[in-house]
Formats: sequence, structure tokens, C-alpha cells
Amino acid sequence: MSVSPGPGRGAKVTRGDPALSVLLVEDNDDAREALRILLELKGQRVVTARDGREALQEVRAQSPDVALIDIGLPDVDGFEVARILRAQPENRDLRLIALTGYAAERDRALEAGFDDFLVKPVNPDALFTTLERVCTGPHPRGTVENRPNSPETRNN
Amino acid sequence: MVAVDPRVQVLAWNHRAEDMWGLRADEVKGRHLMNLDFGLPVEQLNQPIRSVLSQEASHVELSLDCVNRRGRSVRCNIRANSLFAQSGEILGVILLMEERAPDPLPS
Repeated sequence: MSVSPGPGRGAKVTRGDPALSVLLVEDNDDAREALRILLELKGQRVVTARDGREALQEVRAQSPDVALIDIGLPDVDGFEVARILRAQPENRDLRLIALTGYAAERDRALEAGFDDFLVKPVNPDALFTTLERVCTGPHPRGTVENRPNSPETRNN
Repeated sequence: MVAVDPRVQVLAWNHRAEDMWGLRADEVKGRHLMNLDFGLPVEQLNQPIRSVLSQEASHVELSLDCVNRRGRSVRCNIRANSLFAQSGEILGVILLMEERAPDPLPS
């Protein structure tokens, strides 16, 4: 049995207040359900999508605070979803977190417009620490004007 | 994945847990985990859950011999993780359970 340090040294999981509106995009039913339960236990409002097209529709319909997007989606993959969303000025404040089984995809994910990156299977500490880091304070990619891949800078 | 509240009553029991243990979510929600009869030796989870609830540890990992719903003996890796409210109040413990792949046969 391995035991981690207690609070103060380990990552403390805290409930976001006020609740975040989270879009969770994952084609694997088990993974989607587990992440949805974790987020709901934390008090977040969760909408789910199974593929890239559904994700784009839900962003338009729900205007979530943050989207957790699996990279390996069956139709429009997660990289392409991020590029499309980043090209739309109305999504300037949307935070994007990539979900992938391959740590090596990190740079490609950030280049596509993701703000952060989680390796699956996602453990609760990593999920909540990343959500807190990405969703509190100024946008992690800087101001709209100097964000890479934003509509304001793309042709500069 | 299973989640319990500070009284160790089941808050969440996902489809994967239903498939692993043969108990449905609606049968177990609200019941004390230690009173459930399934293939996991729950008494061995008592101390790790208490450690997390008392904040001695933010998470505990262990491996237990279990019997899945098909009656097969399996080794199960379990991670018990704390879940806190913003106020610092503990909301419960998340138990992530995964059947470990069988060790390869000796050649």
C-alpha cells in the first residue's frame, strides 16, 4: 500500500465555487461517466458530448467555462475541435483542456489551442488541480491579442 | 469508480463498478460500503478510507485479491482519493478500481 503526504504537501482537491460549467467530450462511455461523476461530485455543472461535431454544437448551445476534450475522437479529432473553437472570437474566454493517452501529444495539443493537458487515465488530483489552474485568474494563454492561434494574431 | 461520503455511505457507483462487481448503482447508493457483500474484501479498505477521511493522506494506493462478478479471482489496484469542499470540509473519498492484468505465466 502506498500512502501520499497529507494536505499541505499533497494536492488538495477543492470544490469550485461558484460552480463551473464544464463540457466533457469523450467517446469512451466508461471514461466519460467516471469523469462526469468526479466533476459532479465537486459541484460542477457538466454537459457531455461523444464526438467532435457534438462538441462544437454544445459549445454554441451552452457557452461552457471550460471544455475537456479527448484527442482521439472518432470524427473530428480533438486537435481540430480546438483549432475550430480558437478560430471563433466568441470563444475567446473558453478554457480548453486536452485528454489523451499519450503524453507525447502535449506540444501538439498546446499548438492546436489547448490551454492545458491531462494524460488518461485521469486521476482526481490531476483533474482538479488542472481545472483550478486553468480556470482561475487570467486566461492561461495570455490576453486575446497575444494568444497563439487566436483570430487576432493568426495572420500577423 | 466508487465514491463514499464521510460516513462511508455510497455516493456514486458507476457502470464499470456494476460490471466488475455485479451490483447495480440503485442497490448500493446510500448503503454503508462495509455492509455490502461482493467480491472485494471491503474490510481491507476500511483503514485506507479512514486515513483519507482523517486527512492523514490525500490518497492511498493498494492492491487486493478479489473475485469479480464472473467468479474469477483477480488482483485489483485501488486508489482512494480525498474530495474536499472549498471550505476545507471533506466531502468523501473516491475509489478508483482497476483489474490488474494477470501476471505472465513462467516460461
